[in-house]
Amino acid sequence: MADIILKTKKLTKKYGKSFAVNNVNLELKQGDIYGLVGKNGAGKTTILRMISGLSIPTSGELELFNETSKAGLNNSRARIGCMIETPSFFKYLSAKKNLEYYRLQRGVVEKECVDEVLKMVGLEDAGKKKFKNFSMGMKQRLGLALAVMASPDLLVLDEPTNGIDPAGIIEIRELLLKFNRERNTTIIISSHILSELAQIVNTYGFINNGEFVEQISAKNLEEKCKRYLLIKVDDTSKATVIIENKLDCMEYEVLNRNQIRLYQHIDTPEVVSEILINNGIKLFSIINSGMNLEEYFVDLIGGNKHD
Amino acid sequence: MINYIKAELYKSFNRVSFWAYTAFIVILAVLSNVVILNAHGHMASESINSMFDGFLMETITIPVFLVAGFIDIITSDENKNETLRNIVVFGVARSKIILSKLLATVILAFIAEIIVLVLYVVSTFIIFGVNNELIAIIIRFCQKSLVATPLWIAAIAICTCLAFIIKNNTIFAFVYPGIFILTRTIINLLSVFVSENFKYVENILITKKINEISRGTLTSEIIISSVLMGVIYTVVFAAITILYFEKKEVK
Repeated sequence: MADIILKTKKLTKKYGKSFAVNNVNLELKQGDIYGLVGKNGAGKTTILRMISGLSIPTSGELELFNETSKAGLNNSRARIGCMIETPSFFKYLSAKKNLEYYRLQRGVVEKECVDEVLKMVGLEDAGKKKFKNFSMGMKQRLGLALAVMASPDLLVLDEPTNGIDPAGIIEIRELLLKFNRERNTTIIISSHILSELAQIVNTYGFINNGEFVEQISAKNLEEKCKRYLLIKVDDTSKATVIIENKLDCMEYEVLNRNQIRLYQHIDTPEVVSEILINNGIKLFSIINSGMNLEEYFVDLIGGNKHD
Repeated sequence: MINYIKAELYKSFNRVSFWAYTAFIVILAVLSNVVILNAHGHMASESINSMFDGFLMETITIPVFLVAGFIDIITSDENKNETLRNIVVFGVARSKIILSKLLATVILAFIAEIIVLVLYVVSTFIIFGVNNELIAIIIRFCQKSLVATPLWIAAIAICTCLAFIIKNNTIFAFVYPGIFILTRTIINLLSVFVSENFKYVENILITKKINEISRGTLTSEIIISSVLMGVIYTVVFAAITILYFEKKEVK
């Protein structure tokens, strides 16, 4: 079993009387790519800020690399690369000089790492450009370069593809996957763009109004969200024989004596109904069902309400 | 902490404003010599060396105000650019951040001081010519500067504390010099209108102590009290800054 490298127990953050984050329990295993999902203002950034030490929890426990003490957490944070909110750098320094400043500050011995990470994020030609002249996308890339510079064991990323063009999003995604595969880097990433998360994460944590709603593996979520044809017939045992023999489908599930979930032919229900009827099956209904990730999330947090 | 100080110095040396600020101080210093030379032409009764002596010793108070520029480069700059979070997320203890900022500012100010002093002394010799009396004045000035150094460092600690507490740089720019300019006047007023005991408070003011150093003769009592005051102020304000920053949300 993989080691747990990040764990929170009843992590809470209050601003005045209102809870930004309330009793959040989450767990990250080494090698995970964990997607923190929630609406704007749900508390995603606050959780990431507490993990990275920018905010001090009001109550609850934070465990990083098996450390819970203040000094231990600080030491553990040297193993983390962060990009929280819009990346900030010294405006009057070039990208390269900014990274050189942080290389010195973090005690990274290899001088060449600055050029390497700039190349990694596609900023090799912008090294001499001053940060104040950077576009939003370039700032995000430089923020990511800083996050990965000290070869972290855990990457904490808050909406890392904000302002990045579609081609850039693909590059960043590939980069994160590469880090995860080649260096076994654990990643916790927040976003409200679920389609983007769906392509990389293996565990989801859903958060709503500061409260943790559900933690689920991508595999289980995929199962829950799988689209299917819900077929209501008079006799499922006869119908399944026809589905197997005439439609050549093996991916189905019998729910009861009258209902079948068919995971194939989702886009051609008319073909399925025609074959079933022609073979003497009484077909009561055939409905295209299931949820996509967005629908699942909306359903989970209780509809389309906005607070 | 050493890495952090190294990084701060790297950033400062790559910043135009550090060199511009140092050059500005050098120009002011050299100009002051030109003014003395010009003024001497109108007041022939006083020797140029004594005029130079009187002016030079008065300048020992000025670094108390000049350190604000270095605080801006090292500490306020982080507020403007919101870059402090890049340090905090790397797990650098907040107390270490404060101490590193203090040390980096002291080192940077010291480097600037050396540059300014060397160029100033060279310009002095060029403008007034080299003579034994002038050399003795400069040596005395250096001795007095050394004695005032703990108090200058204390001023750095106070200014750093304010830079962490006051995020708005414009307000900070008024508050810091205001504290040094107005405190003495306020205490004087209090001692006149409220209680004479306020005079004792005046004795522990940095500006009062620096005035004693610049105008009087260096005695062991002045040296010890200067060092003690400098250390106490530095420790107290460093502790206040650490306590404040420990509980602070970093934006």
